[in-house]
Amino acid sequence: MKYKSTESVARHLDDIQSTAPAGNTPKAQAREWLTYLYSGHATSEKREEFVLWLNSNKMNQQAFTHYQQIWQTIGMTDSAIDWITQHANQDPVAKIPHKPKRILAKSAVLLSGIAASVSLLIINGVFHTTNTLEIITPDTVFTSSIGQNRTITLSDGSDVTLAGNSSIAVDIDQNARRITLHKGSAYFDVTHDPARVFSVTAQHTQVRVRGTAFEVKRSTDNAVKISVQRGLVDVADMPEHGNLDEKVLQLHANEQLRANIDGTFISDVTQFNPETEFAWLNERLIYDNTALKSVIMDINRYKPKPVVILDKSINDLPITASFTFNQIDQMLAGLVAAYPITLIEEDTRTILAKK
Amino acid sequence: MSKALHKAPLFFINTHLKSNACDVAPTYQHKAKPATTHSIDTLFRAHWRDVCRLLHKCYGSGPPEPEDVAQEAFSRFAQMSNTADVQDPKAYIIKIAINITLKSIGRICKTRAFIAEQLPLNEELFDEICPETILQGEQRIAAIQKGTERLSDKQRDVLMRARIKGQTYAQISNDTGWSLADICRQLNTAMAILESIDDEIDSNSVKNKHSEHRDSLASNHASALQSALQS
Repeated sequence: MKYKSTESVARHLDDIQSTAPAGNTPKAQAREWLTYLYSGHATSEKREEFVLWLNSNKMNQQAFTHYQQIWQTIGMTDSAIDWITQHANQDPVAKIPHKPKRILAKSAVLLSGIAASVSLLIINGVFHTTNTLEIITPDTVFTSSIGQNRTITLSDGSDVTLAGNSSIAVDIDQNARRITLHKGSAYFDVTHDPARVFSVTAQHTQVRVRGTAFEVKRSTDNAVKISVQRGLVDVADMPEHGNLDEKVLQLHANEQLRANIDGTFISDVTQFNPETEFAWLNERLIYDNTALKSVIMDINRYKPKPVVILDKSINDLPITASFTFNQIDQMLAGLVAAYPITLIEEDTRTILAKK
Repeated sequence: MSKALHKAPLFFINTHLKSNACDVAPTYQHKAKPATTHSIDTLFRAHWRDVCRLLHKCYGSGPPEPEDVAQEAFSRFAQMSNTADVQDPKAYIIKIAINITLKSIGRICKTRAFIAEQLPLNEELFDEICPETILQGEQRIAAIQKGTERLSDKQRDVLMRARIKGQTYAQISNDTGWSLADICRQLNTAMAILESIDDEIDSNSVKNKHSEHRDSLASNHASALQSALQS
């Protein structure tokens, strides 16, 4: 049965409703109103009528509310899942009966249909290697919002803590555990698994471990910083050209290394203070003679309104400070008091400029 | 103060905090992981394809694209704090995905908005599927589940097409060949059965009766109502 227009269906439905035995209890009326409203063919006149009915007494409201709750609850039942699963597995069957046709015309249609099918199969065979629906499984992506850290437990038992506004992609299977740091900073406490290397890739730098705790951070100037808290990690540059040898350095606990966007190591292996470096895990930021631009980059992970340095001459101003995520505004006010810096509040950003 | 700081670029927002800086050593430790926690990564790998295929076949290729809906559903599931309480994560994720898809159908959104306007105190009725609505409404879900099992195949099909697939009467009619009047009647009967069982179980629960008795009552009531409404 084909319906030509929404209006004709609505008229038809109105006729059905008006000729059906009218429910004389609030429940029956509420049921009819609910199914009518969700029929997809409700008219504005009928809606006005519904509003009048609903507001005419409290029993109508209670009855309609009850039916609305039931309607919503249907979507939470296992029956809904069973039905949709069965429905999805059913092959679409043509429901419209065909009118009998003369045998010659029928044969012509059949022959042309077969020819078209063969052509389609050939084209399909040429241009597609498969005729099944192919859905490529993407990596699982985890992101944290601005303003807070987020801790995730991966399927291998490893814990990852993302700093604010950070993102990783996770690909773990029977043979390997591959993580990609897309942005921000992440601290990994890796479950030991001698059979599967745990690797973290950021730009052209890759950290490989089997069980340890370390941080990988995308920092200013597109650099990547690796800081090891426990255990031993291999850090490899990832040369773009296959003919170049990979360079690998080993980092021990409390050792740090920086690499640039190409993966080239831009610092020697240095010692660091883990209490300062990993303070962010406890919602605190601690700096000891750190460049202002690095401090601002970290702050922007936790401040919804970004801070922008407009004057390059203050980029490397050395900052020493300790503050919690909740004290960021106080810290910025302190900067203005201590340095020849002005703070300009705009609608969408806060600007730091030289006074 | 600021002058001195300017000479020696050193300042503390809170000297007390700075003096205790060494005490601020990360006390970051492994938290005990609940044994029953569903790892989102494992769930994703196990069910992603199935969820996408199901959405593809039931709702088409979008918009919204099934892959986007599935991604959103997994993401919402991952953000739940009590996933360990969910016995069947895959089914739960599909329920979330269905809800997301239906919310993208303009006609259904308008109907929901219209009803929400008329029932301003009951906005939670339209809330997204969430652990609270699921777990706090367990009794009602059990009742409605029982009710759907009592429906005839045709009643269930019409109900699910309207509620889960989001089809209009005309679309159901086009797909099945059933008349509008028949669809209307089947849907009303199905809703009446669900309502009666929900009522019955609710009142039985208040009286704290045994569940066997409740099932029996629900079954009898459904049968009686079904024959009454179909006659």
